[in-house]
Amino acid sequence: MPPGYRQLYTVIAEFLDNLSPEFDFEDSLRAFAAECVNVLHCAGVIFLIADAGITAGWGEGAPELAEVEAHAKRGPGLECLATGRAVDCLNGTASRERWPEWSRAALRSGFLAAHAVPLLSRGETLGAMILLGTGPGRPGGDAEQLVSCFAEAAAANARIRLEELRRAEIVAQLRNGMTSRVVIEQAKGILAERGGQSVDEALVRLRDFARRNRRPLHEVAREVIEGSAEPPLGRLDAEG
Amino acid sequence: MAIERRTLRALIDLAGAQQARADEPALALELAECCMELLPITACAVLLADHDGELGLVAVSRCRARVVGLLEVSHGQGPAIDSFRTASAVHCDDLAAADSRWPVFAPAALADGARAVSALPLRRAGRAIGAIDLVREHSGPLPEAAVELGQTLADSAAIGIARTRALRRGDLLAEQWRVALDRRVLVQQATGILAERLRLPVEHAARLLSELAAADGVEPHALAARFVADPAGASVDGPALVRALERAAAGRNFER
Repeated sequence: MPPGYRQLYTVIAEFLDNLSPEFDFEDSLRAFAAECVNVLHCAGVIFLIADAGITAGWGEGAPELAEVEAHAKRGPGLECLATGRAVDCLNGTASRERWPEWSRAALRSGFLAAHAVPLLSRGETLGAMILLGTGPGRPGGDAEQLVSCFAEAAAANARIRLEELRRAEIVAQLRNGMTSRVVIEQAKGILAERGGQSVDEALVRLRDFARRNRRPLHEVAREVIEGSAEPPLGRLDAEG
Repeated sequence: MAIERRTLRALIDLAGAQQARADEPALALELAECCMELLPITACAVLLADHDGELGLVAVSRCRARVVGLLEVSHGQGPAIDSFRTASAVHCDDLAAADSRWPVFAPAALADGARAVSALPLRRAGRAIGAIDLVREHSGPLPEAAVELGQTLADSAAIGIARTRALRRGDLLAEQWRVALDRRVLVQQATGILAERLRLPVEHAARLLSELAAADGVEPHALAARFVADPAGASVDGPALVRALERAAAGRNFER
């Protein structure tokens, strides 16, 4: 590792500066993975962001290996995600037993070792960064501090991306006019007024009724509003 | 220019890699402290522009820097002001010879013990969002390596500040949407309550709610909130409200 870290700084600073919504996050992660391969001198790098369902890899065989892990639902990246701790795999018997499909695919692509680190943000594990090597030693070598610089930057951007996704969900809910929600909220009001209860208590009654009769909540709610299902309403009142 | 590992850490923390959610003043202070630690200076002031483009003093490493920063802000002249306006470095190796440049700032800063100042802009995409004053007690230029490192520190902080602002905008937006969603929920619940109380179809109840809110000079959700909080109308203004509603219902023709 050269004594000057200017190139590394430039790579990380550009990645951190790249928050514009026009830039696809998966693309920017892939480009970042390419830079990691360069700077850390390993054969491949994969980024996994759990809640966003993103895998971005760089290096021959790396994207395919990421797919295998996602498909098999087992691998060092996923294990790292689950435990929040780094995972080392020097492709011995242990990894063949833990992640058989992944091990086979890794060997086929010539990867002999993997080192996965968690992407941590405020106590949460948002994803994992997997370094792949074609030699016997740990990929990334002793450059632990450098690896964590990359991992932290990826975690910082992943957090922002996840917050954006969550926000988009709320907006989509509103934009779709919350059709079924309108019906449920109106029914809550009706039942609350009828039974002299709070709207929260009314929801409990509505849910119980729907569950007991194995009908969807919004369907029952619609009937409450239309006043069409008198006997069920009668039963509802009787159950109090 | 080579960067050392410690410096790299400082740079990427400033740019936004740190875990805690830093706000602008905290980042500005971190910048001032980094400059103090890594550059051959005696004080550092960080100035950021507000929405109107006016520079304000946000953080200082030492008292001396506070005096220098405040002098610039209050008199509207000085190296940081020039640096911000031109988005480029502004050097003054000897304040004793700077009277014509900054007639009020230069003598005042000199009197306080500052002898040389270099100001560097905080830039992103060529635009300046603020500037830093790198103050020295002795005359003479700041070494080139220090100028370069100082600029890199300032640019990192500019990235970090941009991220902080984007996050804050995002928070505000999320809050607005959440509030809008909650309000819609209240309006629908109150519509149900009204529909049941006055034996109206929900569409009519919805219209009545918004008409009553308009008559009262409040937003529909505000009126709705009162209903939902107290559906039985047992609160102090409850009965009066119910009577008014029944009057309104009686006086309106809901037949198509």
